[in-house]
Amino acid sequence: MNAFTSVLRRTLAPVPAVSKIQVRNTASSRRLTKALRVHPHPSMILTSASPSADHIIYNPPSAAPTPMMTPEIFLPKNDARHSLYQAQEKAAATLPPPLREPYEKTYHLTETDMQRMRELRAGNPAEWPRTRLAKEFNCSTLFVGIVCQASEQRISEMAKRTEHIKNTWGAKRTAARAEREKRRAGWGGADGL
Amino acid sequence: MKTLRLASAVRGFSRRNTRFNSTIAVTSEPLAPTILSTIPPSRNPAASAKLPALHARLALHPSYPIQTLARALVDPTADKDARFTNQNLSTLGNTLTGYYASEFLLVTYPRLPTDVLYAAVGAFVGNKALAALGREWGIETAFSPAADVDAGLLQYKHLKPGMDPKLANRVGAATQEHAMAEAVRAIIAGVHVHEGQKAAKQFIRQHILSRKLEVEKMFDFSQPTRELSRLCAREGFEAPVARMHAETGRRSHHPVFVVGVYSGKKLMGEGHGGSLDEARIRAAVNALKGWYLYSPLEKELPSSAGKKGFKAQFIDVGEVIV
Repeated sequence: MNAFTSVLRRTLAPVPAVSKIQVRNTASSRRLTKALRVHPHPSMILTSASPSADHIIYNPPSAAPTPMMTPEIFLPKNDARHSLYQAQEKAAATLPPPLREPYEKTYHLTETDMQRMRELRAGNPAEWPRTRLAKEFNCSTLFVGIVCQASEQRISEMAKRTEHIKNTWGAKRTAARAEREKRRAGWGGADGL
Repeated sequence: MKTLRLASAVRGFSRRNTRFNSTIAVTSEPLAPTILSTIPPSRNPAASAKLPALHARLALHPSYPIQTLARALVDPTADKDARFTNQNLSTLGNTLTGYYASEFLLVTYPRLPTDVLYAAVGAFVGNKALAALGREWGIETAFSPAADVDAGLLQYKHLKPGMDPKLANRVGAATQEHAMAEAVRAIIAGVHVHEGQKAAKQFIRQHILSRKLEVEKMFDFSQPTRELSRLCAREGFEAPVARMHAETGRRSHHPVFVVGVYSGKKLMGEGHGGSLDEARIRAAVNALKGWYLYSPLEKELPSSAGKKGFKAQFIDVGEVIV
């Protein structure tokens, strides 16, 4: 016990002795057992509404949907599975929220706009990168990329700069970035998930 | 035409064998240098116990002669004379297995993209798969194609270790995998030649097509969201919209998002992932798999079509070009 701890102990109020009186809480072994009991799924319970004859209970464990079950929209018109899907369709459920608000494509840029975009980028690529052009012309960076490409010289310059930045990374960051790239490469189905 | 030529080649082989057995002992003329006074064990099917065992294990019909089985086990690298090797048989076997596998896949998954179809056919009847099948059948290999090896062993000249398998043809050698696969193809061709087309088809179905192939894991999309958009535009569906089904731990180190991709009110696919982008991209991948892995309820193979002729149940317009 060092000096600081002993001073602290003396200044603090003494701890009262632990109470020996039993207090009944709601928790008891019987109640706990009852609370933890897993009740059968409603589909397993026989009620007066259940079929009286032998029947099959279809209650598969929850799992990610398999692509082997073709969604209804992808079935050809003459496929018999349409009736199955329609039979199990739920009544007018609201759709889940979108990840980002759906938007209509405007197609507002004209040929002269695109020509100006090309000129700006070719004239001063450092001043007019994709993001700024996209903001200026109110379109996506992908569209800017479709309309005009940076010059070979600019691309090689930027590549060199990226290379320089990557060289300043330590071992941990380099490994983490490589791992991330590897994981990203599997999203398209290569990782078998 | 190919079948006919092959059958005559097989007959020629057995006739030559019987001549060895019956006439050589009584001839008084000096033997040509290429004709041996006795058949070496490597070319004498009657001297091998392995061949009847393999014949019985594969439950081949009695009309399938041991001689054909022995010939199927001689790789072209073990003998220069094509009449004694499995060269012709394996060509026929390759045609048969490729035909039945692609027919089965095309009828089961008519929308399969070409690359995936080729990969799936390769997974069923490629060298690797058939070599594994041959090992399961219990075919053993001879150390070298010498005259005194058992005729029931797979005879081939092994490629030297460290050599590029692409150079195998040029140096007249083969890898074990290639030789084994060719032997399996030749055995299957023997079933076609001696037992008929129906038997060969049944044999291929039971030994090869009955294996579980996870076609849904053979896809790798480079631009899944774009491809799905193109698909929806092509088929006249509404443009895809990603919607959040469930999420947990958004601000934590290990969040999980479950995202569904919709066309209008119809769900096309669902995916999960550790980031919104991952879940969205996986949902698009699953939607595309759902499209490509469509399988009609009624499947009729062209080879099983009767006299009325084959009528395709479903004709696909082709894969999506991005």
